[in-house]
Amino acid sequence: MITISNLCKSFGDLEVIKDVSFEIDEGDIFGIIGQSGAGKSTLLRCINGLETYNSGSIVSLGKEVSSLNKKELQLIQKDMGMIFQNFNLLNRLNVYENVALPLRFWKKNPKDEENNKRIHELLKLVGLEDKINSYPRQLSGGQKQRVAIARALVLNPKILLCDEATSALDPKITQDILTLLNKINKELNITIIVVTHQMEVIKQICNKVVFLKNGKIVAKGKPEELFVSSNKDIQDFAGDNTDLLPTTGVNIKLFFTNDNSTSHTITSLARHLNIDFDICQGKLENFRGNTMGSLIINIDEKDQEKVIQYFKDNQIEWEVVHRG
Amino acid sequence: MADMMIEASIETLYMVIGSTLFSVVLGFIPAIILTLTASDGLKPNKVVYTILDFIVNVFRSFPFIILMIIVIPVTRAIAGKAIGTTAALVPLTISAIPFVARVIESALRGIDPGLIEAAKSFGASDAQIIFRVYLKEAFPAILSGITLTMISLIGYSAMGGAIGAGGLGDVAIRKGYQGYNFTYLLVTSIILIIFVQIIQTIGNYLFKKLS
Repeated sequence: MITISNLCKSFGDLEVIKDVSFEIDEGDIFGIIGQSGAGKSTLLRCINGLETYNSGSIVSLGKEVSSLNKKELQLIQKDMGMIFQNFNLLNRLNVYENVALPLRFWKKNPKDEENNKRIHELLKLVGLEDKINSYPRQLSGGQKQRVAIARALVLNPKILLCDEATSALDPKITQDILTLLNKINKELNITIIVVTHQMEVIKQICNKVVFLKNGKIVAKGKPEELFVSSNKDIQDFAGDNTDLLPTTGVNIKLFFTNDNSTSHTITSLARHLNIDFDICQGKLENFRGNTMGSLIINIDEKDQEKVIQYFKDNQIEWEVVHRG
Repeated sequence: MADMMIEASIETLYMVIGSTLFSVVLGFIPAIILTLTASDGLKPNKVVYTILDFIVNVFRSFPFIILMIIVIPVTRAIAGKAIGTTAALVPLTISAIPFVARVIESALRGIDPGLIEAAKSFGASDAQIIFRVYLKEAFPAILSGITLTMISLIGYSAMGGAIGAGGLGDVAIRKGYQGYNFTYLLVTSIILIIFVQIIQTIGNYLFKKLS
């Protein structure tokens, strides 16, 4: 649906996107994650033509974005709704008129039966039917984002672009918005691209993700694959702290996937090999309903060989973790 | 005295309202061009912006009393005469245009750039962004800019009295200053204060109601 190849983009001398390539398929909820300044929002804006790029290619909905004239670009933009961190609603328009605004840009009368029905349906979908005559200042942050979502969907887009859409919201409201995005993806069959710095967002709704650092892709794949990868950048980003691990012995990190998350790996390890070890760090996380976990244990060096053999025999993913 | 004051007040209102209307209409155009061509505008153009910005600054730096004299030929060409309330509309409007251009420009540029970006992301044209986003959102701020313009025009129109524009300024200068009559000075001043208060109150009310 969208193919990005060797994309490069600079602002003056500052290179913000460096040789980025990836593909987004229909039906994806695709995550672009990275720290502030990693170039992810700029990347998103290149996809719908709000930003230009220096070299490389973006084929959105079958068309090379940089080759389009203004009219053609507007037609592409019509197929891509967008929501923002700060909602960007017009303060002087009520909820109904805010949602209707893109229709007016396309010279469609919001009062026509069909359009009017669509606006009401969308407000129902986002759960704001009763706020139809309210103004943005009367709404909470989560409600404003819901209005923005309805507005982004009013032109029947194929793709929804989300630029840090939950970053200004508290955890509970973030959950609600993520649930809504998931529903939109499944029920309306709209492909969603999510730019975020929140690991939670990626874990909960994305089926694919690229991790961006300083304008480069340092990892891509399924969120759960990224989670178990030993990529230093991702571990730093996720806040995995290895500073507190013991300095003696060997630290080994085990990964639990859905299959063995609930089995008794640790106790059976101790029983089978008849060894002692310490548990130093552990966590369980939820990826779209799948539980994944990791655990760091500290063993004596003399036991290293047989422990690793045990993991291999039982097909448990592991890696040696070095402190610091 | 009462009749004279009423007549002078009407003349002042005529000059102020008339020149406000003309200057708002004429000041809108440079305001829009300045907003569009600014570096963060929809059509950044450094040359156009710099030139227009310079012209606006030049006209704003003229003291009104001097501008009034300089534009007398223009006043004659447009109004057919250089003296009287209608003739005074010309220098008042000319002096207010750059002022209006600036207040509208700053109202428009005060709009959150995120709104412009959102409109673009839905495929809005530049004209639609100007009318449906910029002007719509900035309307209350533009209105308070116009209030400010009206109030400064009250002051200018009184100054116009010095070269025969009529109105309250004319009464204050002829009867009060040249005729050594403090009562005239006091009464005209009080009427001017009341005008300013009324306009400001209405302006504040509308700003609050609309924003």
